[in-house]
Amino acid sequence: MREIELSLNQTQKIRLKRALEKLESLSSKANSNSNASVSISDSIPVNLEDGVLKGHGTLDLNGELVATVCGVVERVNKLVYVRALRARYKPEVGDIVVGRVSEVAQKRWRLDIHYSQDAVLMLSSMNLPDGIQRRRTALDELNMRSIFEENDVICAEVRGIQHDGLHLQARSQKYGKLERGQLLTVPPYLVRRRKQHFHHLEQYGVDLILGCNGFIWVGEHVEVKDDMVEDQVSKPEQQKSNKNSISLEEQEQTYTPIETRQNICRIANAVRVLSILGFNINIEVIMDTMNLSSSLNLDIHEMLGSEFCVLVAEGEAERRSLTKRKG
Amino acid sequence: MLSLFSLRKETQRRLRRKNRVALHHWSASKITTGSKLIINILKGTAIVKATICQSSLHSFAFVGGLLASSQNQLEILGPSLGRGARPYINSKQRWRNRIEMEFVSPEGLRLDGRRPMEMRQIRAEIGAVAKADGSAVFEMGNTKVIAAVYGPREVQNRTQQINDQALVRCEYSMANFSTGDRMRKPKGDRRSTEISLVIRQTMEACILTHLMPRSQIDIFVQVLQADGGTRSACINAATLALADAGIPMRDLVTSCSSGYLNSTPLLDLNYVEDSAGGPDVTVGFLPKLDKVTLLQMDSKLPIDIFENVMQLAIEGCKAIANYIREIMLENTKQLEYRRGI
Amino acid sequence: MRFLHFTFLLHLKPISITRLSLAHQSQPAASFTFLLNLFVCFLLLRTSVPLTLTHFLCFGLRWSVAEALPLASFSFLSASSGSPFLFFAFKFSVQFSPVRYSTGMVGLSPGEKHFIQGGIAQDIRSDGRKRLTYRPINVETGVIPQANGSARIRMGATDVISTVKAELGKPISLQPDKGKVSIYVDCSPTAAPMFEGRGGEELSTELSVALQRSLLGGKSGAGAGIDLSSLVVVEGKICWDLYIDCLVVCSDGNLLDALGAAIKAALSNTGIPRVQVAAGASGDEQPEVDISDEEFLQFDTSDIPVIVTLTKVGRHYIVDATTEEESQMSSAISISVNRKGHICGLTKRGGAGLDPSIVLDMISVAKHVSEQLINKLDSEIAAAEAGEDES
Repeated sequence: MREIELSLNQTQKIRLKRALEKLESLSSKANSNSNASVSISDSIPVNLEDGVLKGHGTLDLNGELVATVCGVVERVNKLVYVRALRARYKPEVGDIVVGRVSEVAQKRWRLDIHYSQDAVLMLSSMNLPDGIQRRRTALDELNMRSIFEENDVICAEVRGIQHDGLHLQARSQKYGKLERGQLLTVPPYLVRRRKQHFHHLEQYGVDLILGCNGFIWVGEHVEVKDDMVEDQVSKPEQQKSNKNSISLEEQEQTYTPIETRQNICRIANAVRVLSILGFNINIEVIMDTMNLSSSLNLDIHEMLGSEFCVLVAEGEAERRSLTKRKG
Repeated sequence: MLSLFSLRKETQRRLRRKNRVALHHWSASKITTGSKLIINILKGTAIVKATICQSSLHSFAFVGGLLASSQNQLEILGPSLGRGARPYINSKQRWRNRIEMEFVSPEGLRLDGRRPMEMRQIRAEIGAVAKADGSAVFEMGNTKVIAAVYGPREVQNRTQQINDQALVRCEYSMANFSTGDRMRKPKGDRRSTEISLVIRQTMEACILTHLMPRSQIDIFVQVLQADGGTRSACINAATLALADAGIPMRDLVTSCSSGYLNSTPLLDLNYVEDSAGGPDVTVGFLPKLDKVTLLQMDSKLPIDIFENVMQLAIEGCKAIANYIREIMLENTKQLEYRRGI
Repeated sequence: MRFLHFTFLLHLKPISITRLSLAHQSQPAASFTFLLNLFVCFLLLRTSVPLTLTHFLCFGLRWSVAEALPLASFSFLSASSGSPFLFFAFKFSVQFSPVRYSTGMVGLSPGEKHFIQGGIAQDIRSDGRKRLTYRPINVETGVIPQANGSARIRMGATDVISTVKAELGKPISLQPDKGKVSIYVDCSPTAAPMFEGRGGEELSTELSVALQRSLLGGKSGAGAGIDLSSLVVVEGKICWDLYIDCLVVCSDGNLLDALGAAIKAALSNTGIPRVQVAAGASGDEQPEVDISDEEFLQFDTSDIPVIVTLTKVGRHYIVDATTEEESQMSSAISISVNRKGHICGLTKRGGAGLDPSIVLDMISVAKHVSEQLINKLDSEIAAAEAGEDES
């Protein structure tokens, strides 16, 4: 069993156990019979005469449907599939993902997005800095590194799977390079697909991007600029001249303001706590966790201590039982 | 600088259990609790006396790594002493002891107190390495291994990329402290290479590699304690780690060993039984498909007996598969309800 | 302490200059350097004699010809003068090597790098810690029952196992009154795929050597954090050999400190059988020994140092750096400090040079931090031991 990796004292252990038991009872009531957990090689009861469609995580074995991964059986009309929990990211078209550039290749960037291969972002499937729709020239190809370099963190959208792998696109101002912040990785199953994955938390001045692939970006808020044309042309030059000449003092002036940084770290730690506990990660829960820590007047780093984790678990149990009663 | 302390009862009990050794020429009247015996250390540095802390008709327990010889003297066969020691037999004596030693007492108990068909206690835990995609710890008695799985991910060495299936790689390594007598072995010796290969082939046979083309799966197994059956423990741990990483598999693959000593088939040999020189049959088994994927045996065995011994190992595999299945199911349920809706 | 630093610095400069010129001239012949140094030493002793000088004399010598010069010769020098700085002279061995213990290819974008550096400058690191805050430390003892003592330490995602095995052996003839301790580190490929095959060997060796330097003192065993003389059973004949084997199971920065802590915990968990020596053995004969099975001796681990690594990023330095933070370091100093506040070993890593005053500043910070770390570690070890006995 995957234990929660915390060093707890006796009372904390009991409290955590109680909170988890509560969660267990809540979830077992919610879905009593519709979907069941299976482990590898368990047979899935289906009525084969109805003509089921075998989906992911299933295998036909001598007329019997068996699971090939550990997970939860899902049935959609005739389709039967097993939804794996802890696994690498399974892309779906339209997903918003955060990735890291692993290679700049011919007319494309390769990105690590926690998938079984690197994803491909073609030069042609992203808006150029000048914002004009045109054919990509050889010059554009040569200047690819000025757009994204190796190790840059990028936000993009899944376009689809083609013969040479998974393709991404970034045809909007909201996609692109992410700077001034930190990248967190959580198991992808904790991030549910939603309408909104970009969150601008105005009161904190923070941008939060919950990538469907479990990469979560927490960073300083950047205004999405429509006037890309003049902005991008002038900016790189400025930066370059800056890079060479700035002293340590000047560099310090460009650091993230301290309040914003505190908020970024607090949000990041809220995500970390939720990931340790294995709770679903969405904006509401993150905000709740963050508010809980602020209301307790905890230092940011104390959020990763065992006491706060237990409190979050108890809070989550409470929250879920409330929403259940309402529903 | 040193201060004296006495061991707690529980620790003492643990030590005795580990150091139980069968005795052939001795009768219980000669050896009783508390009797002192003369012991030679093989290294020849000193002669020491040892105290028997527990004895029965055919076996006795002691603290320290010693084993019976046919003479009125006992010889310490492990160069190490104290808590870390474990019986160790050198090759010449192995042959002699094979005839003399009794691995199954007339009451039908083995050296460590098990019945012939009994497995050591197994324990599994999912999630031991924070940074890996999947990981697990598997214990069979004193044997303890950690497995970590990285991937499926982009192939690191492009020349190794396979276009229609995943590349599976495996490395087996033993910690310096894993064996009773400490040794420092160079990495990649023949034995580790062979076991790496065995594990890789066994796991590759059950992973649905065609679902993850052009990717790479790395399986790393690390032995923390070796007390016989490391091969089996590694395969079991690797299965759990692969399942934890969410890699689709045809079936669970589990492994168990069995042997044949004192004309009795024995399940799940420990180190002493393994080094007794009898046959050691290691079986890898797919329980749902009812197929054997790995079969290794050293030493000779009549074919009708082999059948029994192999069947015993298969039964062991099935028992392990049941246990692993339960662990995985429980783990899945927990992950699911913790995540919530 | 301040005063001491001051004098130390003052004297350091001329000596290091002499050292440099000497070393430069006599590159081919080590023995020649040795003689020259002795000569300089002699001259200085004759001319200025003050007792305070002895310490940096030794320092200078030790530094330049550490290999060539037997420690005994200047141990005699300092001992005869009875200098109060004797300790400093012995235990201060600075090694400058461009070693980098990076444990994985951390690719960070310029934006992230800037964010990490800014966090350190503003005293809020990425996980909210202050510069001198540790991650929670989790100690487990007795994890490998086959060993005489073992412990597992987890700090964040960093996870290491340390074991101690004791065997009876013979002390080496040069040091008949000392036992032998060897430390080996192994990086398991489970920690990172890059440790596969021989990939972890370099890091393993670096860590082993750094640990030996921090805990075992010089070649002569003088000034070792672990008291070697307590391992002797019969002087010159029988002693305990301790084999300390460490395994890195998962790595997320600060491996050296974690390994140091794990060794300390494993040694507190170690029981060495009590040995009774039969009387009457004489001459070259090996004496008879009687190894007890009930009585075990336990180490006094209160004097074993902890290792504090200060990683310098920008103009500030931090403790317990994660892999990401380590990738941004300009240099790092690992200092092993014991409970008394004595420095037992020191390693400087990273390419960038450090101002000597900063080095001294870092040492005093490390000393301060080490007190908290030792207390924290001791309570965790005690809790783990209690937990083990219960179960």
